[in-house]
Amino acid sequence: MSTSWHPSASIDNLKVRAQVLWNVRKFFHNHNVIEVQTPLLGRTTVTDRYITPFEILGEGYLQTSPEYLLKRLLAAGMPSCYQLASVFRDDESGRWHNPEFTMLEWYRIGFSATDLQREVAELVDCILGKAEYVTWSFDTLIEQQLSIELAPLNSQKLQSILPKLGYHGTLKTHEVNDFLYSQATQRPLPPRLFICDFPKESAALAKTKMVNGKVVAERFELWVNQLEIANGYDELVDAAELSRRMDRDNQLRDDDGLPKIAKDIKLLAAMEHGLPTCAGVALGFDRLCALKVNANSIDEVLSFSNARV
Amino acid sequence: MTSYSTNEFKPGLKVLLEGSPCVILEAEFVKPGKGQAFTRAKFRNFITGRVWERTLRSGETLEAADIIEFEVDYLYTDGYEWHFMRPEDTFEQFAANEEVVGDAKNWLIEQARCTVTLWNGQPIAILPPNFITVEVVDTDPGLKGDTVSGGSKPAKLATGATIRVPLFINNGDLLKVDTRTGEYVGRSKD
Repeated sequence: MSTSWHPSASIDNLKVRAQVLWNVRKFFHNHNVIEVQTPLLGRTTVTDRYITPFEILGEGYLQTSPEYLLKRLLAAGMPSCYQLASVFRDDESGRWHNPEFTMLEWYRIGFSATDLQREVAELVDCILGKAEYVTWSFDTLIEQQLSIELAPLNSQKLQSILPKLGYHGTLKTHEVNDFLYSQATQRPLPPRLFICDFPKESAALAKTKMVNGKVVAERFELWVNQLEIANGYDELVDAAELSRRMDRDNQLRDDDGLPKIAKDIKLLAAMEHGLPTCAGVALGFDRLCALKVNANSIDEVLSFSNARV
Repeated sequence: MTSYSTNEFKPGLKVLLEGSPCVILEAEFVKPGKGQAFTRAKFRNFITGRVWERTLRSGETLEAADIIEFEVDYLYTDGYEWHFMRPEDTFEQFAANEEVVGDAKNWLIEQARCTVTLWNGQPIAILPPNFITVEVVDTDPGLKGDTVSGGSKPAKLATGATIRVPLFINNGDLLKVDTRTGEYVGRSKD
């Protein structure tokens, strides 16, 4: 905790940030995507094993993402829409993380994940200037960056690979992909890179599809100058499948001694009523600003980072 | 026993990693995708001086290492142990064996101000001063006036170490030596 009263960001950077806010809103206005506001204080939260919400005793949780509420709006007939607001995640702080950050999340009715990737690139071009985009599958990323073959990746092979990559403990099966991904993305990447076809275990709220006989998630991430800035899905619309995934999340939580999280029955009810076919993406607005000003940490574009509040 | 969670990692923190006392040089929180978060950190091992890169799962803990470092003056060696004294206030003496002294023994001259590292009260490393002034005890006779040819020859120093020196150096010359690289820096005017 810092004792300084000064802001984390320079006043110049905050002026750039204001300009980026304005340009993002103009972009969506020109694309007929309307801005909505949903409560930051929710009754329920996500079941994700690796997201820790802030709990407000007797009230609920601070929003970790507006996803569930935006989907309820879509199910109720809201056209393509976006929210640009704070979200909160406990236990996430570091050079590129702050427990409260600004998320730009938007949903496009009738879009495929590929359509949405194009729109994400258009927005990023609009803020950071035009550049080439490269698309790699998750498997390509791992194999090229780490020079390993994923098929077949058995436990014996892993035993020899993990220490070479600097990991000396034991990892659960579902953590191996996370570890390989974290290593592969630390090594030099093309300046603007979409990663797609994630393992089905990390589908979260994305649909899945078959690629070369393997089930993969219709999910993408965008990395700009080594920084992960967006995560998008071809949205799962099947309520029963979502309910099963929430059960699986809770099983993982339980295995690790974490409390189970009640399933959001209102989201499930909205999806049973019918979520239109759509694609959605969440973009780290602070990181986009950081790239705009060539910052060395997220703090340089936050008026007051958590340590300075 | 005190221990530190990955979210408390910061440069300078002294921890036990795989049984060895280390200092954290840098630590970065990484959480790409929506999965498990990790902390990637660089550690310097106090005993070997080597830098280890390790990745830990977020929330893992490492035990604190009881490490103290302070300055001591080198006194003498009896051939088995090297003896040091804490200057000023305490005049406390420490003995370190050959394994602990390591390569530092090549650079120990009397009164040299060294840094000793204690782990659980026991010396584990001796760091000599970056530069020492030491006498040449054995080298081929110097080639008079040859200060430009760039050639070199071996010379044995009073500390026992042998280094490469320019051709014009003679027995009895006082040399300034960089102990980190073991390289000749120049003739000492002292």
